Amino acid sequence: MRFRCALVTGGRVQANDPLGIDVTAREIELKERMVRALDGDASAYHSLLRLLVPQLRAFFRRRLNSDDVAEDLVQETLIAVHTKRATYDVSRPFSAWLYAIARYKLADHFRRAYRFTSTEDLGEEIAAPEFESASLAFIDVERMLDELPVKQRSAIRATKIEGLSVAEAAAAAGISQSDAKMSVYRGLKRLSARVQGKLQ
Amino acid sequence: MTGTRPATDDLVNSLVAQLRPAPRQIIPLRLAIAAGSGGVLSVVLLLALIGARPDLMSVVGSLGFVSKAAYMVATAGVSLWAAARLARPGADTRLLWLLPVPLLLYIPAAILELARTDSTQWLPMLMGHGWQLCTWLVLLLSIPVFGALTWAFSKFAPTNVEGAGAVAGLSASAISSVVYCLHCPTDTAVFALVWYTLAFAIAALLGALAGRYLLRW
Repeated sequence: MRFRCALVTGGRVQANDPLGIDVTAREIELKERMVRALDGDASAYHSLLRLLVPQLRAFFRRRLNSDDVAEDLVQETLIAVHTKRATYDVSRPFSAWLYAIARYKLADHFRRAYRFTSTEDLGEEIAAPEFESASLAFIDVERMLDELPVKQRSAIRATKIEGLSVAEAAAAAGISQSDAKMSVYRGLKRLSARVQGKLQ
Repeated sequence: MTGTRPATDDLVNSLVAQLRPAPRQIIPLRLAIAAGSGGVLSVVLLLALIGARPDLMSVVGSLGFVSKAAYMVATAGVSLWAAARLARPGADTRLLWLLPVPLLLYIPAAILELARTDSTQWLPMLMGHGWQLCTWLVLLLSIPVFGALTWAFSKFAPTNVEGAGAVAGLSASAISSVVYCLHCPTDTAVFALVWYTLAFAIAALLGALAGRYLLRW
């Protein structure tokens, strides 16, 4: 779920820059260095990579819980930028190329993370009785959330299931913090009313 | 924000030390090399396995042969162009709807051909001299081309590996179908439309599946 969320929000990266830099000026700055680096200018390349590190770090940290994993992905992306630099078309925006690589590396990370949960470990997990009740509980939660209005549902999902802060959830949904807080409150109230209704 | 960590700093420095001027136009260049060498291998394979049709010289200029070959050349061209698009991260893919244009142009040719012949001839026209083999031979001949295109893609950065695999499969089968024209004894449009297009579809599907494994980076 977090994976899907990360991919969806990925598209907005260039609009609200993670470091609050003027995006257009930054694009011109990066592109100019990239074009010189493609011709073999080492100092332009060094300065390009130095600018990319904090930008990529912000991108990955926003989408991952672990700073170490985020740092690994920063490095993987830098290596990909290096080895695949000849695929950059100088007539197109640099940031589009860069973030397409970053998103690809992020998706690749999630794919590997899921694959490396070996089936033997999974076997035990599936066999454990808690797994079944936890799965059923999860399905119940999903079913009940689906009955809520979209705004309340996504606010609850972001804050209570994915563990985002209210501020982050509000930013992701493009609503104000008080609006997000209110949506969570109303949604939870409605959910508890439903549960009580069902039990009676 | 913490400062840049030593490991990432070191990485940046080593990447800068490895910088060489990047070759321009590697995407069209490598695709052309792959399509050319794969096509040659495919011709060698065809001549070794089944040989050219004996009447090749006399039909080369005929309308049936030329329009059939044109459909395949156009498909090869448009799919190689799409492959060049999908080779880059963040490329504009809005123009990919051009892919089926050769097919859409060829369908009226087949309909026209059917309309001008007696309906009793329709089935023989569709079945031709070798419908059982045509699709599979095109697929077999496309293997060396697909291999060469996979080599070309090893230096590219497709962010949609299934899509890139599908257009690589389509390109490979379109190129090998042009090669197969040297042998195929049937020149009717409806035959080519059905059996070659079937080969294209299978190749695109297999290419998409293979792309997941072969085109990752």
